[in-house]
Amino acid sequence: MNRRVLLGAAVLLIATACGGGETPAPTSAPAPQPPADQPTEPPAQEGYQGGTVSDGGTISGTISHSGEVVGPIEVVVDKDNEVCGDTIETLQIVKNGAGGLQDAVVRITDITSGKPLTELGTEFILDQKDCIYAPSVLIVPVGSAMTVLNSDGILHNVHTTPFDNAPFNVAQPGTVPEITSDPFTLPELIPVVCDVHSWMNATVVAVDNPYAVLTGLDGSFTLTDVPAGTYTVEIWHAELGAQTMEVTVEAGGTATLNAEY
Amino acid sequence: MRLSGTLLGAGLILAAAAGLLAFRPSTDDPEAEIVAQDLELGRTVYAVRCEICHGVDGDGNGPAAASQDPRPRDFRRGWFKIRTTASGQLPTDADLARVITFGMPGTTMPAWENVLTEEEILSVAEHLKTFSRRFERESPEPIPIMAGPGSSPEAIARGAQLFVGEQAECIKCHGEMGRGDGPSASDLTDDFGQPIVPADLSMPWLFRGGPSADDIYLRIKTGLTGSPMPSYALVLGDEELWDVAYYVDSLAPDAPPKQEAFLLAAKVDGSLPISGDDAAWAAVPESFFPLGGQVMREVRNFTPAVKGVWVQALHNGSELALRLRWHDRFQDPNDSFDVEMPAVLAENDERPYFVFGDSRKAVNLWHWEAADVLLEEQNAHGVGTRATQSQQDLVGQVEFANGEYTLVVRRALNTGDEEDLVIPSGQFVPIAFAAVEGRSEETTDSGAIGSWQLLFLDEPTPALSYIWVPIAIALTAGLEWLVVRRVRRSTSA
Repeated sequence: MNRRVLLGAAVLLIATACGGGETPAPTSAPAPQPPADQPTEPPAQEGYQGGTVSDGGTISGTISHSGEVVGPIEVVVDKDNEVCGDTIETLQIVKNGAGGLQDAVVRITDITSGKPLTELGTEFILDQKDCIYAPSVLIVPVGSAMTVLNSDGILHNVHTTPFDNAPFNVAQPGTVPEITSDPFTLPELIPVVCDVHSWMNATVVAVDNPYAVLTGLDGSFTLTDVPAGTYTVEIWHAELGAQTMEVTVEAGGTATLNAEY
Repeated sequence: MRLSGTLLGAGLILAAAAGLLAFRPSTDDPEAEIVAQDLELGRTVYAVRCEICHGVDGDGNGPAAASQDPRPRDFRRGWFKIRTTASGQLPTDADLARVITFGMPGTTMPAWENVLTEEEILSVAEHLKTFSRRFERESPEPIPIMAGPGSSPEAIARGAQLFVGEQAECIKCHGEMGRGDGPSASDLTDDFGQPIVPADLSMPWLFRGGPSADDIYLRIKTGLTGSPMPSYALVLGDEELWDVAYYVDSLAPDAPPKQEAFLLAAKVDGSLPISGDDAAWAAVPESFFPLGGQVMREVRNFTPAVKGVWVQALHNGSELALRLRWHDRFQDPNDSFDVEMPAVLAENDERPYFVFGDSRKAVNLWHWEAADVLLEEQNAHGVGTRATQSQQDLVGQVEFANGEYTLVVRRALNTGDEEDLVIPSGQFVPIAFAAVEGRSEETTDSGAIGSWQLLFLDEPTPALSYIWVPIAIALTAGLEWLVVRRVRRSTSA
């Protein structure tokens, strides 16, 4: 079910695709939305130009955690027990035996040109299943919306509290398996909560360049096709916070970036 | 002149209803253009009128903000509850002007319509927009709306089905009877991290955006941004939204309850009911008494949870029974209730201080507490001076269901206890009520309280008083006849 037409009214800053070229100034008038049946091509964002990258380099490494892990945190469920179960256990920090930290976000914050934003994909899905969000961290490029699934068949509400983007708080009863959010317009970290089930929370990482990735089960990550240069890389984890590092990438080379919490 | 809370509430409701018409969103509304918006004027008005609560920087943190619940709006995020725009969108100028003009019932935001000119209101609305940069980037448009098809029993039934059913599940927060007591109600916070409770839908005079079905429809469709209340625009069609709106509208009385001049206890024969369900109560009129925060003595409470109590009274010449009904979202061991009367009736009608008596004049308290289902008579002569009476004379019963307590309490009119007021019939007796919602950390002396009301135990007119009138008429007529006869005789003689 595509509800983008309904939602499109809220998009005010980002104009429709314009061949990957010019970006509307922040004060420009709202642009018409594309017809519902056409994919929304992510527009270029001011400050970032997507294009072809030849002889790009790679940044790879591992994010690790050496501290104690408290938990799992157990929430006693006092509503919708038939769907949510009686307790929900969440690990705020997930790492492997070697300390590799899962679900940290590694992203370049100051890159102005490189591969197209579409490299991040075209569909960004947040599922509500067993009364938790999957995934708990979702990277979405600006100009794109997220699709929110309700696999639980009970009422959830999808409630974001951004600072720069427009907030969003929509009921998603069990009879509505899928809704689409408003497209995100500016890069920022956006909390997502369900007020019906107060333990549910996730984070949308809205990014304006495609050099953003989540660490895997072993804490490793790879960013490819990075134009040669020196960049600021921010590592962020929902529980552990952010740290920034500088990295220099050479054409065709591989830069190693390891960070530890 | 002091307006009573109820009158004020009614006024706000009327004002809000009028406001919906006045500020009905319309893209071709020419009136919005007539009055110039003067940013300089707006800044001045803001500094004089708004800053004390909303803060110099519009962060909702002015000097007077701390004691307010809900807290004054933080304008910096562009999050506004009462809008005609889609979820997450900024409000229109008319939306802002409407809230400023008519205020927000149930909050500390007053109506400014009689204080500020239309130009000042539109100008200060323009100034509010400078606090969030989103207003520079976004141009809010009203969401398409459908005119109300009109309420009907069928629409209300369909709305009820949606309200409780899986298609909308409003009961998750608002509860089965709409009293804001659903399973998800207890741990809600707003987007600023402040605790928040779902609206009690049976008290529409406290609805922030107005009580009409039109208002309710818009709130369900657009959601209340910054609060947990989501928009249903994506998941329900307009007809369904109206059905739910009409159902919510049906949960409330047609008009806000009127505060009665006094509480009448009719006299009945035989024993008085002890159960709240007793059929005897059906015929007894119910009076509503609004309660406010206990703000006169430490610990002060500016934001009491219980908003009022519905009271019925009966007596049988030897006993008085009160049936008290109040809404409390969260059953808690610290919940409590007090019925307060002077310990003695002064001949000059001087009353004890209504906040649990004073040093010279004590009050009797009929005190009920959820913990241990305690019902006891206490005496007090001021806050913090409660003492349990040595002789206990109360009987009662309490029920809690769907966010509502029903308490019946009975006491002999004359208990023979020298600490107790002998409750007379045929004359006004001061009576007051106080309620504590334990979950919100209210304490026995710092909950919701009302000022003195008047209780009147009715005494059926004695049969003799019906006989005296015809006797008096007959005597007068007889005397007149005698006089007339004598006069006629003397003139004819």
